[in-house]
Amino acid sequence: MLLGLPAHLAPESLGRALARACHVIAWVVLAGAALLLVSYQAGEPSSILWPALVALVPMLGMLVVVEKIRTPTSYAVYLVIGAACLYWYAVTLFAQFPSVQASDAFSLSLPKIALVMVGGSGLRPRHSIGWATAGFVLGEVVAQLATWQTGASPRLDVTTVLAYVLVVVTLGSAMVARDRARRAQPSIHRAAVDQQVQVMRHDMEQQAAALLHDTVLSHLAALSTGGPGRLDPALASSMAADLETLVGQEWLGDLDGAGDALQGADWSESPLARAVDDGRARGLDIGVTGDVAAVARLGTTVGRALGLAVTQCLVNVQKHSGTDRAEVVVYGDGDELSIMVIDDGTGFDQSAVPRDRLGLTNSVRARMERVGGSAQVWSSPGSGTSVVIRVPAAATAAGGPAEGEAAEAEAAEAEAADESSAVADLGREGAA
Amino acid sequence: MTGRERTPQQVDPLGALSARPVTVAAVLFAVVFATVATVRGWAEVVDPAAGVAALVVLAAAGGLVLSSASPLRAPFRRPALVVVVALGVVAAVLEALGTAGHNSLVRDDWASIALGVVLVGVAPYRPAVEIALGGAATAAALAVLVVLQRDSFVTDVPTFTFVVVVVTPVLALSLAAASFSRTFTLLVEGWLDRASTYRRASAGELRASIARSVQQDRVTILNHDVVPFFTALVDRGEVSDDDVETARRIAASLRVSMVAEADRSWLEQLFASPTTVVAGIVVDPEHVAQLMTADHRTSLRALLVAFGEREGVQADDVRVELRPEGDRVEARISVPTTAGEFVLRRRFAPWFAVLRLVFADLQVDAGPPLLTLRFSYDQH
Repeated sequence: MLLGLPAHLAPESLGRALARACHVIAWVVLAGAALLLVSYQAGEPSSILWPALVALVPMLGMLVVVEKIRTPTSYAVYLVIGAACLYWYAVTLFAQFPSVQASDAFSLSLPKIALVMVGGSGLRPRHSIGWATAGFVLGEVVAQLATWQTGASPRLDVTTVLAYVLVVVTLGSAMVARDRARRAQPSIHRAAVDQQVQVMRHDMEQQAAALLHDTVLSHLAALSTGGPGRLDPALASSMAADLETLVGQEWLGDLDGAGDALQGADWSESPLARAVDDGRARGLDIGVTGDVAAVARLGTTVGRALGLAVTQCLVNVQKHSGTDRAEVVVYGDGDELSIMVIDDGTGFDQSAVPRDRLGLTNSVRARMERVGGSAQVWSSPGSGTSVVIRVPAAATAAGGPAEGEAAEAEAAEAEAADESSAVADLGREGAA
Repeated sequence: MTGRERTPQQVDPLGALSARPVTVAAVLFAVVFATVATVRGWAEVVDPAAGVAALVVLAAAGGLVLSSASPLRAPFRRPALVVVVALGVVAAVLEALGTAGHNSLVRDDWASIALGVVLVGVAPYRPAVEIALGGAATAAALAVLVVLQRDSFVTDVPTFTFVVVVVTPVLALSLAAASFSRTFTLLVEGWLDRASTYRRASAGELRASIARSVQQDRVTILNHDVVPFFTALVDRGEVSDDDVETARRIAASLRVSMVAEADRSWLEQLFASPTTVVAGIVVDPEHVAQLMTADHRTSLRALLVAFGEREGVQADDVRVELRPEGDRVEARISVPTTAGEFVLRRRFAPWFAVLRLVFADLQVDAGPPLLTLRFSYDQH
């Protein structure tokens, strides 16, 4: 909300706000005039002041009109009707009320001020000054005419002059002053846009980094730890596939989990299940419990990101926990899904993790935050590690626990793919 | 930082800055008007000390409005308005004491118009409700004063008449000021709403083009080392000792660049950007630059970019230091300058005004050879 108005819209908004402020003054002074009449009447029951009160009614009505219809015609009509009413009001007052016998009487100033406060077009302050001047001149002429006709004494009405000066000074300074400070406006707007672009770019770069981390870096690590010899066919095909994706396709974009098509897939076809299967293929003993059918409520993007993040968690278990058992627990709750990856291994001190470790920061936490989720890690030396991932999901009550399937999948156990040791080298990372 | 309020100044800080001449004019008018009225009605003043004190207190209220409205102290806060209204009431009481028992005409008293005009000067800075309440409180005080003085008035009308005469100007002016504040704020908010809807709509396109550009950058880096290396390996099907060494080297350099990127704050990115002139050093060992909110970043970025586009400061030698201090971050920004304090304050006034809205404790020290800004923000 820092932006404020762009320079080309400022004069119009300022003009409209000033015009309305003028109309409020007109309302209050006309109401004041009406109250004065009532008060005079109470003090002098014999005088006939109601015609003056009636004269104020058309002015109040026209005030509503100029507030609603901002055209020169309505301002002109306001001034003409207002001048007629003012004449009527002044003559009544001079003829009927002994205390008001001069053209500068306060009760006479009030409807004159209402004429000055015609407001005028919001678009052009110069025109508004013109309308206020017309209202001022008309009011004075009519008041002097009534004074002359009724034999009251003509005097300079300082109050109305002051009101007129107030309007002219305010409109005038709005006219001359606005350019100086507004020169910074484009720079603020540009900074806001640049800022937005930079945030988006930062997100994308993190996303790209996570992908590179999971693919290219893991292959490189596999190569350097595998040593010389025949290239493992599984690694070769994985490298070829990744090259094709990274260089040949658009793999960035759609960061936004919202509005995503529902994944809708069965548990066994979900990216999360594939992550578990991959972990088992690398030799981990992974138990899956909880409401696994709830993954059908995840959007495609969220589901994919979740699968990648859980893969990284399982890699961390294998590499660092000192155990080959892990537990994946799925809770579906309202419009959120929680996934826990738990091991009872050695654990680690989160504050002692070097800053240059990217896996948990980039591949888990940042990845989940990009799809509107979060990731939290609980660990301390000797007490195992729990990673809790929360992701947004469609808010439907779907399915019950499907432990049967999970248990069935649990039986599968394959030898470790070369990738596993490779990816594992990327390390366990703590909070940034 | 305290929360943003719905005032013209806070939704459109630069608009408030350009409204400053109106505020200056209003305060000057009020003081001159009151002085002229006092001099003209001096015959009725029975206690000159009170009469003069009333003017002094009114001037103090006006001075407080001017200093609170200054871009050097933005934003104008509620306590300042409360004090202004209280001083106004005190001035009115002193004026009444000055002419006690000899005040023949209500309409010659200056308090109602002068205090109303002072509230007009406040219109760009405070919410409508507060200005209206300030006007109402002043009107109530004036009504009580006029009732107490009714015996000295020469005009033969009911007391209620005097009350209407005395409250009408202050009510008209303060309600007009309140209306201005409310209308302007609503118009700006409406515009911002429409603008952000439009921005959201265009964000998708922007995102797609940024995605393409980021991906292109990555592909360029990969094409340099990784792609030829992987392609050759997959073709050969054999890993040599050299390959193992190459894999280790590429992995190390990729990791270094990824860590550097993950650590690079928005300020460092701004300084490194080829499209801006501004450059310098960011001392941010605890990586707290990322804790600034979008508003913080926007206003600071605008100022830093402005350094590069305006004369008087050496924009390629900016030093930013960010240091966590309890649950706040203390920031210090300095840039060498050759221009004088007055010139710098004037040249960068709009940016300082905007910064001051988001960093309430901003201090600007503009004395050569360094322009230094100090402020702090929450560690969220």
